[in-house]
Amino acid sequence: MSARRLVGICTGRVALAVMLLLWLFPVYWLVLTAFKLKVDIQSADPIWIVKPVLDNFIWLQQNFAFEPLQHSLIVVFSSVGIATLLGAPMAYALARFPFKQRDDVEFWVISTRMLPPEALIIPYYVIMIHIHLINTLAGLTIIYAAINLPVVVWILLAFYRMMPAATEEAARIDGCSLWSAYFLIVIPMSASSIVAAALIIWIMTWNEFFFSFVLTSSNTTLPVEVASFLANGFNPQYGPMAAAGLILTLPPLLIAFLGRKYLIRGIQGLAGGEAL
Amino acid sequence: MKVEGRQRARRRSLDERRWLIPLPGFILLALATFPPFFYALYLSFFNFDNQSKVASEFVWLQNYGTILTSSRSLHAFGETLAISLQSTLYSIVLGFAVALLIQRYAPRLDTWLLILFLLPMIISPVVAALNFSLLLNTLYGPIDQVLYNFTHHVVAWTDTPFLATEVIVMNQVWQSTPFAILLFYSGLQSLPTEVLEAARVDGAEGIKFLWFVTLPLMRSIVIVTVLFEFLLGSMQFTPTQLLTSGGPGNATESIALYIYRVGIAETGSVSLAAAAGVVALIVTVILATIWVKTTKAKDLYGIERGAVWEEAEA
Repeated sequence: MSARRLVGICTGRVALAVMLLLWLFPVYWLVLTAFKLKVDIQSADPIWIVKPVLDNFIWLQQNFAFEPLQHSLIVVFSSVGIATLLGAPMAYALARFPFKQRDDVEFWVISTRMLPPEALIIPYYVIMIHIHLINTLAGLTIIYAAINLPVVVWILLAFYRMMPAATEEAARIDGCSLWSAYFLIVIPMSASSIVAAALIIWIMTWNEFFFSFVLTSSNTTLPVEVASFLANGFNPQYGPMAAAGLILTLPPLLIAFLGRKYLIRGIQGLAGGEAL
Repeated sequence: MKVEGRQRARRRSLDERRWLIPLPGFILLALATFPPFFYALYLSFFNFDNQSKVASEFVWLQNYGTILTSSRSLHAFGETLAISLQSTLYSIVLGFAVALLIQRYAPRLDTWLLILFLLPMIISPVVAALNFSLLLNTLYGPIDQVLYNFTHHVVAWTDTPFLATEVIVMNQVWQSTPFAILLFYSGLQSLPTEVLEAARVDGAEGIKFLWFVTLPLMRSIVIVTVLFEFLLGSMQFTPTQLLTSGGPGNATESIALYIYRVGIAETGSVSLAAAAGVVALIVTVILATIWVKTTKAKDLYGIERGAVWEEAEA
């Protein structure tokens, strides 16, 4: 290895490291603020390192309503469950059942994934008022399940397309019906893709702000509750706000690190589709 | 024999009912997309009665006329365009640079590096906005404090239209670049090595290599990523609502915020907001169609190899 090449590699790695540090600095600052005392947050000179204190979390425990956390868990788990259960067979049907308008149906399913939420929010809002589902967890769950469906279909469709049909055909010859072949053979084979899809939509739903913000008020979810810190006048409680933000970030963070392989595959499927 | 025949008959009848299992999903999706869309379309031709929450008076295209002429809505469309274009540009450039750096200099750590660069994407937009409000706080934020030490000036980030827009763009770039990184990285991984080798043998190097060999090979994936980033940018609501609340004035009011405010928050013109939604939807559907067609193209990861040979030789 020539000296010039070595210098090149070192520069490249240093550049990468610097970029990564800058990229993650906002996260570091959030964690730091969450564990700072109020005097340190409001100090005139920036304090970069601090001995962690739990004051902000204790403040949260005393002053923060935790119903939104419950609501979030209910809405997220039920909508992710519904979307995965309903979406996986849809993807399989689109991949394996030949019918005339298959391309059109597929195009419709996939394009719904790109529908701008702001275009649907007005009709959703008015319809929810009329069917008395405004400000209910049920209403929010239905909407989340519906917007998650195409994501599941999109990720799994790519997988089912690539999977050779031979295994299922063998099962069919041995006497399985179409769907028992699906449940006994295909689901175990595609388990990792299903997990990838479920993790992705879990994170997306957990983080979702817009629909929850508009469609619920007293029955709201955690992101909206955390956001209310920012809306609170000119001098928000920065410490507790950062602590609450950290709590909101922890579940996706855990998923990201424990399920990193699934997640990366899922996100690739999310944006690129079949070829990935 | 008889048992087998019965089994086969049972199987056939199950096959005939094969649509029963995926059907609920299709129905849910259909219910969540078609009725709301047609309802929005219907509302957009009427005036809305806020008391009874129903459409009251047919006004033809009046709402669309307002959308296409009022300075506030036009500004919202323009601002959305400005935010989307800028954040797309920055995300693409930054995403490509990071993907290239990872692939060149740290391929063995790729899963870990990717997941670390991915973090902003899996963080809630609420927390992202909160992050930036901490960082950019005029009094206690580290950025202003460091700037003050050098320039003895404090920058009020959300007080001028230009800076406020840039803050939104920055927030958007932070959250949407991970998509670009991931897509470009997978694109780089799947480039045909023979073609790259051949180009190297022919003497392509550095920037030239990137411009004449790598980028043409990744043409489709670049298109997909650009469209995707643009769509993400055009849909953003959270940063404008939480960081700048559309301000100063209405300067950073994006189309999503405009629809929410006009239709719901200001207890006003539901049908006007519905019309704006329909316009936004039409624009998005056009872009999404291009996106779907490109991702469906078989050769997402490159043009035909023969063509590349010619281009590399030329």
